[in-house]
Amino acid sequence: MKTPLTDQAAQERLDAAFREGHPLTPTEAADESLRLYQRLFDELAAEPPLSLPAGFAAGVVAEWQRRRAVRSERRAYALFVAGVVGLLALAWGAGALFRIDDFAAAWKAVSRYAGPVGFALGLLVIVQAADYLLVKRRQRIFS
Amino acid sequence: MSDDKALVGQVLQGNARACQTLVERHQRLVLHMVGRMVRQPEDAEDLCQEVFIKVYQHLPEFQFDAKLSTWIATIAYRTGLNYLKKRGYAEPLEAPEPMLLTADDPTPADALVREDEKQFLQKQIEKLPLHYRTVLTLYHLDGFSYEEIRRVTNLPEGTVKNYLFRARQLLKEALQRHQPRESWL
Repeated sequence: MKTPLTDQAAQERLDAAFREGHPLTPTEAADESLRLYQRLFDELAAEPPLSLPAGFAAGVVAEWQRRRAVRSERRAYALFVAGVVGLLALAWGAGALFRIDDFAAAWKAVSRYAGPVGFALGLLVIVQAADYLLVKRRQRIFS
Repeated sequence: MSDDKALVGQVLQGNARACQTLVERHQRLVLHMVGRMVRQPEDAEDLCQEVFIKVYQHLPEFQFDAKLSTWIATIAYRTGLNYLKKRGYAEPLEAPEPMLLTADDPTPADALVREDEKQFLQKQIEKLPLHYRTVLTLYHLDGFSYEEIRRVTNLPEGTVKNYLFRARQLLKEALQRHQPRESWL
């Protein structure tokens, strides 16, 4: 009577059968341990009963694109702010370096437009805030 | 590998079709990993999405020192572990033995009435410790090598082999106990 294979030997034989394409011989297939392991290996390689919705990949890509857009928008804002601050610093620096006394006079001349400019900037901030709160955030909530 | 390189390059350039291809090519692998880790199907989809968001965030750092699928599986594995940690699931990572077919389980004969052998084995797989399930999934479902599984799980290769052997042995024993009564019916 043939001795049944050990677990180790049976698993190694089936690994070879599954991975290297060496099918079991009829004699081997009659071995109880190998037969059980064969059923087990078949089941382990079967797709589990869980799936993702059909539009999953498209949803992920849309989310990636949204994130990319947000990132480039942030980068643009950061560049804009850095540009404004840089220009102001440059102006102050130039004023200090070249001792331009006209700077105070120029500021006085420009300051008469402070009201309209302040109003325009305030309006811009309100429009941006409304855009974020009413449009973008809602889009994110419903996406 | 060169195919992965080309695909990643296109994704980084913002090519929408390449992005879609990358997700479609790896969503099955991510679902296998996550599905076997979290158990709640309703959480699996959210977690898969989280995995791909992390893939996107870290893709510029990917150095091609492993296959893209191995790298994505590593992210899926770590995301799954974090999820379990956050929810306070005290999952045994290794086996308290014997752990299959406890007394309050339906007997195999009962189980056979209600579910077929496929379902019986799926339930037994779910009862395995987390590391056993992960190793089995990567090896059998996704065709990963021992070396690739070692990279994903950060376990020594000998441990990977040992977990795989032990998990299959436990499942075979469960199947064996399931079998004698099967032949009565």
